Amino acid sequence: MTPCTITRTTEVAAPLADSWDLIGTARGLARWLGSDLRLEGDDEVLAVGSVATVIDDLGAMRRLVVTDLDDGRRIGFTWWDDADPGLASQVTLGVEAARAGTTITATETVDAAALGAAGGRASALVPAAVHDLTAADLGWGDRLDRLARRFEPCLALVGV
Amino acid sequence: MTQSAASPDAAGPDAVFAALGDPTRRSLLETIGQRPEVTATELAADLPISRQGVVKHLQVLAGAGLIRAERVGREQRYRLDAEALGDAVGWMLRTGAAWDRRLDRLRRDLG
Repeated sequence: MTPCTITRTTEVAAPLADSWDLIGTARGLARWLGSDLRLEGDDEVLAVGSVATVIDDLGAMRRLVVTDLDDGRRIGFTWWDDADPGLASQVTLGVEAARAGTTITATETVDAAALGAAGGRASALVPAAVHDLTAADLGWGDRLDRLARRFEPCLALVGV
Repeated sequence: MTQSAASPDAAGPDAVFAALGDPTRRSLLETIGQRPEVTATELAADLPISRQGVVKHLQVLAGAGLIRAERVGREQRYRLDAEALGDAVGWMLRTGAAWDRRLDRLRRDLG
């Protein structure tokens, strides 16, 4: 498996317990993960094996299955777009006490092979760049600059 | 909503490389990738170039199949067509932008 990973870290000026309430509970996740989140079944408490439906902010429906729960610290789930169930990704959300509040980390990983990385017009140039682009927590400007540098030999070939 | 997108199959790799070779266009692509959709006027507000200049860059990006343009009423709205960058990079752009939006909501909620 060749993983393709996105990591985002943010610090909030809120106590760890308040941050965890938004990360580790269905009611909390429903307030920010998408426009809506509903747990399946009667259970209102998230646990390993819990199944939920998430409507994301662009209106797409996603299915979510909780795969890992370390109460007060970390939750992991697998989710996928209902319209593309073959492309599931793994998400981990973690909270950690910081000097001025809480550090929240979100990581999403997908198998690059599942993305069809071998296909597509420009993707023949991309696989070698993917690791470089995903190795560090970069801003989008840095990612695109790295991508452009990868393409420099090709740009020279086509006279750009 | 009417669609007036450049066909992704119409542009070759040369057009993609040429579009990515300009730092202003990379900056525009970065901004477009972070939002569901955006107008040329909104993009020009964040850049030291005119709206007309932004439109010219957007036409190059659309010609390369990197963005799509949709007319909504009198507005032309642009969105990333990340497939042209390759599936993996496209996934990173879409997923990264989605987490940026989610964490913005989370920060507002905790603020």
